[in-house]
Amino acid sequence: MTLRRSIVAAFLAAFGLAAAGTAGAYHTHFVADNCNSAAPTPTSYITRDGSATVALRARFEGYQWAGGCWNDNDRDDSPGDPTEDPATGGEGGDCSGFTFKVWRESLTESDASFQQWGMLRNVHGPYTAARFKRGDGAPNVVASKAGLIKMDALASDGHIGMIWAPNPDGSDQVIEAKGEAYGTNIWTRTYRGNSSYGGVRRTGWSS
Amino acid sequence: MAGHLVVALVALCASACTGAGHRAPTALADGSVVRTPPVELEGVDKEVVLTSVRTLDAASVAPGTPSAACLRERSDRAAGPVVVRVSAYGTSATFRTSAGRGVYACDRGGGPPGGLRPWCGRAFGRLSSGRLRDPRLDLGCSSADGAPLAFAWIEPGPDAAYVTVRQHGFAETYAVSSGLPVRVSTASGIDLDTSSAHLDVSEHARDGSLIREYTVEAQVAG
Repeated sequence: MTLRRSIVAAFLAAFGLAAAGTAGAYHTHFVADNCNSAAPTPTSYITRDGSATVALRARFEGYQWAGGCWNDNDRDDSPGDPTEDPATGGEGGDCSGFTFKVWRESLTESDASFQQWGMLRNVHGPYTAARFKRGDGAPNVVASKAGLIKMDALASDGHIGMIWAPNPDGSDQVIEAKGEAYGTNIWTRTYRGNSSYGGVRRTGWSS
Repeated sequence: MAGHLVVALVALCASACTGAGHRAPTALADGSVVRTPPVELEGVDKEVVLTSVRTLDAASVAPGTPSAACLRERSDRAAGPVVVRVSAYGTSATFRTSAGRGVYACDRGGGPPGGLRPWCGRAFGRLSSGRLRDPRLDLGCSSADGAPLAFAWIEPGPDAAYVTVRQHGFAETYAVSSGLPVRVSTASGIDLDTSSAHLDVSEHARDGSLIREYTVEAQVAG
């Protein structure tokens, strides 16, 4: 007898999600109603200030596990999504998807070119935080934490955030997609002094 | 003209009827000869390839090996064994991180491992109440012929002895080992544009009987 089940039910059975019923039923429709699959626009150069501007548009816009689509109305249009469920279709990126888009990278890992993605283009990119941490992909390199500057990143196996500004006390202001309960914002973080975090740099900045 | 048409039709039929181009491989990614599973897997109507699995003591992994390089990617010590799997398309190493709070994997496609960077992909999965909450899809590797590969963890039920994944034209089965999630690989159902992969999976008991069958829609995340 074949016990074919729906995708969600099967995933829950396989991975034992605690919030099974809630997660399976929940869907905000933000992505379905607002987002697109438009091709990126290639550009010949990127600057750190330009990427900072890209990042600021995502500020206050929420967080979505495996997500990468947001508008710029300074509020989370899908608050309270069940966590770590890619199917909820909410607004915002997750930490690695946010970084991918802000660093204007290509979906092709061997391609270090610069790609401008629209805010409403729902794209996550091929990298997890763990892969960013090891400098995977042609555009990314591991960098000394001591030398990191604005829009470089600090990554652990489970999270990545970009440096907004270093603080005099050795901590940093970090812009990051932190989690469903927190959204995307700038916070003071001590990742630079945390041994589980490493430095990562997108290559090719013009300035 | 008619003769050419007959030849073309025969060739087309031969290709279509045997699934040429998607036949079961004769060797795994490391060149070892493919074996069939020791039991018939209920509900699997394709030719089945048995993947290989080795369990290594993390404390005695030989320096300079790919497994040692994978262990070095974590600053903490592995808790428990390293499970190395070789499928038709690639190789993976999975181990539990210290204090058992997560699992870590290194992934590699076909061909021999590179020296300094023997792994092209990796994944970390947090455990919540001892279970993964996400298959931790990795799309960083390619097969020996350059096709994109997907690696993901399947966490079978406690009664499963085999996890089987459908490929084009054949199926691969993995023996469950050491209580760790099973790192599977596939060259089918990958969508690089959405950084996602679709896996058709079944779990089987030690005697091959079907326990459950499901689809996993995995996405790169986090």
